[in-house]
Amino acid sequence: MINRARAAVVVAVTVAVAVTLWALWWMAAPHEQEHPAVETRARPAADIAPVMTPPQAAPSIAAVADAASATPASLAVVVTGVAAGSDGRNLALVSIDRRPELLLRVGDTMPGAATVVHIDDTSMTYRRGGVDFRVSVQAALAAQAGVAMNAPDVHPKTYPGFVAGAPAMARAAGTEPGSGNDAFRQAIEKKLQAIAAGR
Amino acid sequence: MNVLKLFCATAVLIAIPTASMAYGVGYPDTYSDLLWRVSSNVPGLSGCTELQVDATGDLNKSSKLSIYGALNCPQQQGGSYGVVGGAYFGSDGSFNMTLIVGSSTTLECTRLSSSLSGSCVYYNTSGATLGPAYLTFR
Repeated sequence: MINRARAAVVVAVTVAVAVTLWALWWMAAPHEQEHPAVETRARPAADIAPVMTPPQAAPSIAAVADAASATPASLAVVVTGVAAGSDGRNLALVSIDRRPELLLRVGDTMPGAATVVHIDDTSMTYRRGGVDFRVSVQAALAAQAGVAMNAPDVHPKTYPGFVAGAPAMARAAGTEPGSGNDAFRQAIEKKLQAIAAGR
Repeated sequence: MNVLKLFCATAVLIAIPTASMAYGVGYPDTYSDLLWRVSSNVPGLSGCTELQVDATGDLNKSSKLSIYGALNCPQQQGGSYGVVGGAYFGSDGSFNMTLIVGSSTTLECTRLSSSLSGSCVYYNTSGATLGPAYLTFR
């Protein structure tokens, strides 16, 4: 009886050791199925860089400003921002002769017998004495002129949350738009099969 | 008695590997440059016709994904909205995705089919509906 019990114990211990060794080997070995070969294409930092660049400065208005300042009774007009009004028309935030900013629409009159004739995303045009003067939105110039700006990063038609000045996310050379979709589709198909199987 | 102790010890030894396997470690994958074509008439967002994101998650052990990228808009509008959010697969296999667009808008896509295309809704910060959007996975 005792011998049979000892034999049973030896067998049990042997099985336990074998199972433990197998488990250790199983945990240490690489498992391909856990790491499907999903194509991941890390974007080089250089490709992302354009998104992170600060907004591009609007075209210089130096020529316009010089032309205006050459006139004895010229206006020092600085456009610090353009926004869309509730009526869908554009509004321009304008400082004239270093005074506090005005919010102007097309048709509004300005000091010096000038009238706003056009506002687009990047500039405002006013007419004075039969001559049109186009002034680009230019935060840098506004600062140079000593005009207080409400926001240091004034941008044409600014909406909250914009990644300002980003042309689009750059893609790695040679890749087609949406080329990552196929790898994602494959992973999803596999996932949906697992869901359907109740796993 | 000794036999009983040995039996218990054997049982414990057998149980250890099984228990250790229960603590599986996830290995998230990143699915890069996913593109959706976006169609919407919501003011200020109607021109934003491309959702371009990366998604990270371990779909072998989880049904969730972290999503981040941009809602690309025309150059005239200044660029793109940054987007961040998440998605999960429902038990019915549907794809559900919520993204914060910029700082003031949420894009919610619920129960998209396996094609990952379907109707979504833009909401403002108050939860009020701004309008529908239709996403097409390219």
